[in-house]
Amino acid sequence: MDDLHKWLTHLVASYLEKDPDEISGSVSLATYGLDSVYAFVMCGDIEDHLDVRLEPTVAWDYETIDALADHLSSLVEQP
Amino acid sequence: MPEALEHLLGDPWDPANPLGYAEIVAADERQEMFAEAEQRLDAYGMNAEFVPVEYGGRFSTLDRLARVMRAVWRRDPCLGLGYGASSFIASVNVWAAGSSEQRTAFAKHLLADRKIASVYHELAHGNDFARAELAAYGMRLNGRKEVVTNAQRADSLVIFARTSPDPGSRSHSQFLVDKADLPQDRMAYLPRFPSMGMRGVQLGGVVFTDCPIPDDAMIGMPGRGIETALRSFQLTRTALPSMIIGVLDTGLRTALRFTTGRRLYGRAAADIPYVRAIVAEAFADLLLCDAFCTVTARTLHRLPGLASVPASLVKYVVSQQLIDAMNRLSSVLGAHFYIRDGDHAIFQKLLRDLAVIGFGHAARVACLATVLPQTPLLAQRSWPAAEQPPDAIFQLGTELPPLPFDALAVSASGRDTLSAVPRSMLDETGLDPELRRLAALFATELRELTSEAGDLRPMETGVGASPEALAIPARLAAVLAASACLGVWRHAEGGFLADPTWVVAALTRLTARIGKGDGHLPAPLTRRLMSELLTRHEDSRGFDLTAGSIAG
Repeated sequence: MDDLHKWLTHLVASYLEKDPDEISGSVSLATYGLDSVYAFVMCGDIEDHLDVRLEPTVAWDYETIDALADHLSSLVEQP
Repeated sequence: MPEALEHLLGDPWDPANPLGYAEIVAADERQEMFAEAEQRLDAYGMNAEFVPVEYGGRFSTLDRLARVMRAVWRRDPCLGLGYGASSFIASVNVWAAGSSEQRTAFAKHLLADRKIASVYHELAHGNDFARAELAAYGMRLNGRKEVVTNAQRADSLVIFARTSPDPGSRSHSQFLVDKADLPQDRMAYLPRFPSMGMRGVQLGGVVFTDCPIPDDAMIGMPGRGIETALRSFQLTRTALPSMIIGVLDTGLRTALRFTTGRRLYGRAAADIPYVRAIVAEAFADLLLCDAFCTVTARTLHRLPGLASVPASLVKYVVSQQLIDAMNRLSSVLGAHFYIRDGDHAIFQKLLRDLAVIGFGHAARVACLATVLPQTPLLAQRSWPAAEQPPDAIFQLGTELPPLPFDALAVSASGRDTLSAVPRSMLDETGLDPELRRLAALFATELRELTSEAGDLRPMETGVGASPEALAIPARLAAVLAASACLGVWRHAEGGFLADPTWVVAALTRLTARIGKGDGHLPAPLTRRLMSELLTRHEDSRGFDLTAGSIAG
């Protein structure tokens, strides 16, 4: 979970070309300027990282890194 | 069928036909919808074309729907939009996300010849509909929508409204409302927006002031409006350009009628090489547009999850190809193209009406911006693997499963098979050498795109994308258009479509889009295309892939 949160924070920071320390897990991705289409890029990167298949809209429904990390860990932990 | 509708509308060039071009141009001069033709379309039951078969209509496949509508667009784009396409645009939201009750009610409205307006557009936000402001908090509408087709005369509205103040992509929803259910004093109409073309179409607007709407009006789940729009508008972004191909058919017919009857410099204008080149190139453009539209429409049935990419790019390619072809044809007509009466007057009207295709219902650059962020994943997951698409998307006229609205997806998740066609052609033995050379150009283009899209940084794919980055989806569009042409040619059963002439011409035209040619056709190709074109003109057949019978 912590690893996943950290990885997501680095991912978002890399999109924004910022330092991961500047990214808060509780701020919505839209507020950072990651608009609807970034969600598709992000979805692809998460799928590759976790080796899962996701709805392309997953980052629309879980709009912060905190929420997304929670959701993804529950998916990955399922048997 | 298109033939039945053609018969009903009659020969548009016949001065005795009350639905002919003379009357169409006259209605346009009066800035009115052409009432007699609308009555005839009611009699035909045009709206049934937009209602899926399971709801009692005739909408079986999207490529058929577009072909039927070409009979309308080739006569009068105001009818095409103001009678037909605007209700179709509203309908796809309902088929894709509406409840069973909403779909049934909507089908009933359409089958009763009623109009339904698609109430999306706000001038301040244009294609950026994620920032649309008209609000529907607590099931009360507040705000305005502008340049909406049929806002005033429609009986029902599909309204796109904000249902949450939060930024992001889950803050809007659609609503299906009957005007009869709204209090009269809470809704007002804006005056018609004066426009360069589509002058008969009622391009109005509407203002809501604390207007209550029924509790069951929402289409789909709360906050899913953007998703519903991105999924369902794949149908309209594909079908509208396909319908509008009918405009170029008439443009070509006008040019042929003009040049065969005119003598210049001691010979028929139709024999002047410059004129012949322009006309033949426009014919090739029409065919390539039809191939790309038809294959994309069939992809929506057969591979709905992959259709988001070609559906945006077909709008990008076809809108420009049609506008450019009509502009070049105008040079053939010379001074006659802007004269607003007489035998060729329909041309200037078509040229004005056609301009809307460049920005209406998704601007061209917005189409590229939609696809750009998908390209790195396509480059990684699909392009090197080169899996082949199913034959059915290329086999014109063969049956398809009903359009699976549930399976439409906002993103292709890196899946594409259409672009693999050019490379696969290189394995064929006995291929026409020129066709092999052209197929190799597009196969190479995809290889270059694979490396360039793979190198894109995410920041380069967003709203701030550079023209260089946007060139990636633009070049991909040319590769997909070429793939569609090659696929249709390879699966053609005989006749002109199985002859390499048209596909070599189409790919030659497309090389200009990837900077690997000037797009001009060599003389022997022009000669063969002109021969086909003149034969079809003589026989009253359409200039598109299927070359069906038309009424003059």
